[in-house]
Amino acid sequence: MIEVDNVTKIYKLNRRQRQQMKTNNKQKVAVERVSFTAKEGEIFGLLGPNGAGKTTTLRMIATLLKPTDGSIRVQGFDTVKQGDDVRRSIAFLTNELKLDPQFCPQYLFRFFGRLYGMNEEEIDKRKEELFSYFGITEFQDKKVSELSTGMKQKTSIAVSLLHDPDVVVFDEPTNGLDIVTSRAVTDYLKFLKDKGKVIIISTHIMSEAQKLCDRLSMIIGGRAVFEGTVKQVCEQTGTQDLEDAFFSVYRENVQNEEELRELSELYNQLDKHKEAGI
Amino acid sequence: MKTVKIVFFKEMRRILFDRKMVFALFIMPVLMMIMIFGLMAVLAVNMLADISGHVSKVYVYQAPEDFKEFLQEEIGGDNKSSDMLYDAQKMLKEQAEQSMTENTANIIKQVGQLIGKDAEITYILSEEDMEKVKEDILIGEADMMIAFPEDFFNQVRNYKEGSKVPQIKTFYNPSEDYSSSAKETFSEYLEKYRRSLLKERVGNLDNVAVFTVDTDNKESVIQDDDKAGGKMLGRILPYMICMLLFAGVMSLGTDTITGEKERGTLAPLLIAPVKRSHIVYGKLMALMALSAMSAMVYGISMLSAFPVFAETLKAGGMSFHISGVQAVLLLLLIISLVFVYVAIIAVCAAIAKNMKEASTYLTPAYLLVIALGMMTMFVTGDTKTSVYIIPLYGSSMALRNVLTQEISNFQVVLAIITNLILGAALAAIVTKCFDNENLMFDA
Repeated sequence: MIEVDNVTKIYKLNRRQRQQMKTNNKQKVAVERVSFTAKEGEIFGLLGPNGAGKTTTLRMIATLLKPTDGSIRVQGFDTVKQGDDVRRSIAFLTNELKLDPQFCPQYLFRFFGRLYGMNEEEIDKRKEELFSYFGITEFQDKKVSELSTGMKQKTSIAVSLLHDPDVVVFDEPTNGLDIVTSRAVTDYLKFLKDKGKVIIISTHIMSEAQKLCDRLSMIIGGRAVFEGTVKQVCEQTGTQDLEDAFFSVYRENVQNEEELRELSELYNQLDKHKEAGI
Repeated sequence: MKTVKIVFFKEMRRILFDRKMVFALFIMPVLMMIMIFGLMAVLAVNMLADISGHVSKVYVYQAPEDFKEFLQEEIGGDNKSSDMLYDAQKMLKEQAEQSMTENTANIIKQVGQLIGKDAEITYILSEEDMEKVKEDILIGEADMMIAFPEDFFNQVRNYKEGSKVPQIKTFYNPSEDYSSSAKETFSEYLEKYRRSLLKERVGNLDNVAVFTVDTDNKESVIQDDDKAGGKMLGRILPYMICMLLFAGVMSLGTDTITGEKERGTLAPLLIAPVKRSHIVYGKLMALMALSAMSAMVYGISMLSAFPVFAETLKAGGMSFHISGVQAVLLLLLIISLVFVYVAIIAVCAAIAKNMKEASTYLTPAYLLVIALGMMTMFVTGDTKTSVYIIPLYGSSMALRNVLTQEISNFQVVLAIITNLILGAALAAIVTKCFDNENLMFDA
């Protein structure tokens, strides 16, 4: 089980980042008081536009980032205090994690298998399972640099799952894949779900989420604005499908966001006036 | 420890299976060394051949007849009459002026000429010509002039005790290689001429010798050959070792850490359930091994491309030998120094967000290492034990002093321990950097 409890992540912005974002604020709230729970035997979806805070949330679950406030527990382990235990029990996939272009899938699979403490027999067994399922065997000896985007993604998925973890955290797993490979990935996620694994995926492809996710959380502007099933969100917004439901929720919250932004700028100006003694 | 080994072998494989890396690390240095030393050797040989093949152009003012004979015996050739030479010279000068050639020699009135295999002697008589020859020596058109005083022959022959000893003056230009070479050769001739005149005067030369210096003293040079050889090596080697070790691993270090960070290939390692310190040590050990291999290739290629080195030491009466214990200590000292260098590079690479930033951080570190290596060339006197615990500098001094055998085993061990402590502290900083989400994920 993954328990995200009131988690906030604030980034400090350096001068370069402030210039890029055209802001004077020295910090950015990427995720604000987000809570949700993902359970065994279900696929939990994180939905939201680009920059909403989905990847930051997933990175915190995978122990790569530490929450500024709140806590996350994965299979009962705290992500900050018991990082090693959390890492042992999850598969994490994001497009920012790349495979070394100089090596072939076969070598990388063996290398990570050894790093995860598996013996050669276990590695061979898992390699046989995953490579044949994702059709990697035919290009297992080619260098990663010579592989297509789809081949790389399939290899990344296989490598992330090599230690057969109980928790699977995939950030936009079908991004850049053709329809056949996408189907293979989503089918495998269903297979893992049936095996009783905890699965979290982030996506902005609503049709995929509608078919795949048992429950979902919508994140907009760093805040979780909805948690429930597809049916519940459609009922709540009076829409027919997830895409319409998402836009309905999005419009409502972006309006609120703008109001909030105006208010926070007003507070910032007031603070500056106080500092200047006006 | 198992994780360290797994990461170590992966890093080694990444470099050693990459043709470009292998070429840059192990083949390029050999080619460079062969080219540089080959070129230097060819140029040096050519220079020597040019100087020895040059026919020295020497003028002799007011030469006595017996000196002319003496020279003819020494350098061979025939004496020629003057008028024919003067006309020929005048014609050459006119031709040169017509073709606008600069720095042409002055027209000098000759009274005779002796053309030998290695030297061309011109005899002159007027003081005006003497000034002209001086001008020619200045511009490199003439190599040397020997000026005899007026009536030299009689002054020598009719010498009586208490009368003035005649003086022969020589003129040359030390900035010109040909001129220096002529001065050296003709000084020997003059000494030989002086001794022949003296022999004529006193018969047995031993009668006028009050003492001699080192005529048959073969033990004149008292030096420990090993120490002398070491001293020569001690001057160059610390600087070379420091520079090569650091340079060899600099680009590798940034690629292994900053490059991996930039490419996104470091993150998969960081989400593996292993201690970050183990990843850091695996990478550092691989860098150390590669640095040592690269330095070895440099060393071997230098020695093989420069075989004269050992001969030069021998010719200078020097040899190089250190005891077994000191050799082991030298090896350990170098290994510990590599550890420190690799750790310095790793800290810079871990802090840097991209390769460009990494090279910006590394340049001052590299200059510092070179400067400390060079400083050892100019420091003289005994080194205090406390110096060996100064980070980096102490090790450079220890390297030098092991080679000159002016260091105790305890002092070498002290320098090694200092390096190990410093390297471990820096490695701990690298581990902290690997734990820092801002540095690893630009968060």
